[in-house]
Amino acid sequence: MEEIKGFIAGDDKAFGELVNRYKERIYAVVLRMVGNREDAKDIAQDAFVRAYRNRQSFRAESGFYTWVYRIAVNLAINFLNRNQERSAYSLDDPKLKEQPGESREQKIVTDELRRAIDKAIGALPARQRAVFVLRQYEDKSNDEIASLLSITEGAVKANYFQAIQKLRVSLGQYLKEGSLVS
Amino acid sequence: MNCRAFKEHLDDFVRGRAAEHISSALKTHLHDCRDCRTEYETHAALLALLDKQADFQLGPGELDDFVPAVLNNIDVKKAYRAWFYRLAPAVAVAVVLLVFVFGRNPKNELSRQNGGIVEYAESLKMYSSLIAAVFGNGMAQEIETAEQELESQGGFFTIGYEDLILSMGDEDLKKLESKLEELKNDKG
Repeated sequence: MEEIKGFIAGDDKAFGELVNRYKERIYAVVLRMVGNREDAKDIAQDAFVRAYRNRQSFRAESGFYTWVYRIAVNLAINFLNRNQERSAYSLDDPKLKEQPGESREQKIVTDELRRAIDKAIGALPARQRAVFVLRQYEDKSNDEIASLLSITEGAVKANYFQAIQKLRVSLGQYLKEGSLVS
Repeated sequence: MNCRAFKEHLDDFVRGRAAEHISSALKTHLHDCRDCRTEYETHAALLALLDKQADFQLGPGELDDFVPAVLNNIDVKKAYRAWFYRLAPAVAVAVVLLVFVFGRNPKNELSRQNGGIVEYAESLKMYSSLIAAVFGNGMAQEIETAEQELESQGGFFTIGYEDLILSMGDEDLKKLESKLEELKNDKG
């Protein structure tokens, strides 16, 4: 709470502590949406900078994290809209190739599957991707997503439905009568 | 429950988010309807598959420079904001050039009263390249940044050059018109 007071008053140190506390979570949701670590970092940082700049309009009852989260999600969508032909979607970090306890064969299968999922998610248009990510990986409800993206709940459902239909087609070979092939 | 209602609640059901009475009705329907059972199994399998991507790891030191970068950017942003207030003369000069090149009357184009503002907004589509050509890419970049500054809390839609001018208050617009008139007279 002290940090929030400091943040509103323009105290850089207090703000820095808030950034440090929430950076990973904000970065994670942006990365899920844009699928590129470098871009995700830029966007997540920009979200915090904008939060600081607009701190006078911050309402404490909504919570600092919720506020920055909203900014970050919308910045990520803006980014996707502006960069439709951007580099391939991938959550893999090239520096993290080895997973402990994983055999070579397992790794090949896992890598292939992850690449297929990345590709399928990366092919979704901006808003469908955003809605899907928020529901699947951020565990948000339709009304929460509608509020975050300033769209109707009907639009959330429609976008989610379209995203799921596309993913089902893209990942069809990995699904077999309700069971995972791998 | 019919198949349509089943499909509407299917995702919530698979995620364990459906209300108890709905879950109960869904289970009954599942038992009776083979098509919906297949649909359920396929959807559950898809979500399970996608869940394999639920975890990803941060690289070593990946966010080490995050906080310092944000704090540095705050200062940079302050400088950018100052740019916005210094934009009006550059914009005015660019409009004059636009008018001279295309032979339009800036007074008409800037007037909110006679609908010329729409035509004016259309002409602004050339701003980015014009400003880059006249002032260099650095200025165009500054304007782009100032444009981004206008996006309050990362709004869903981006604000273009048109909005930058159209968002000016009457007083600023008047100043712009006056500057244009002055430059026009100087030229004349």
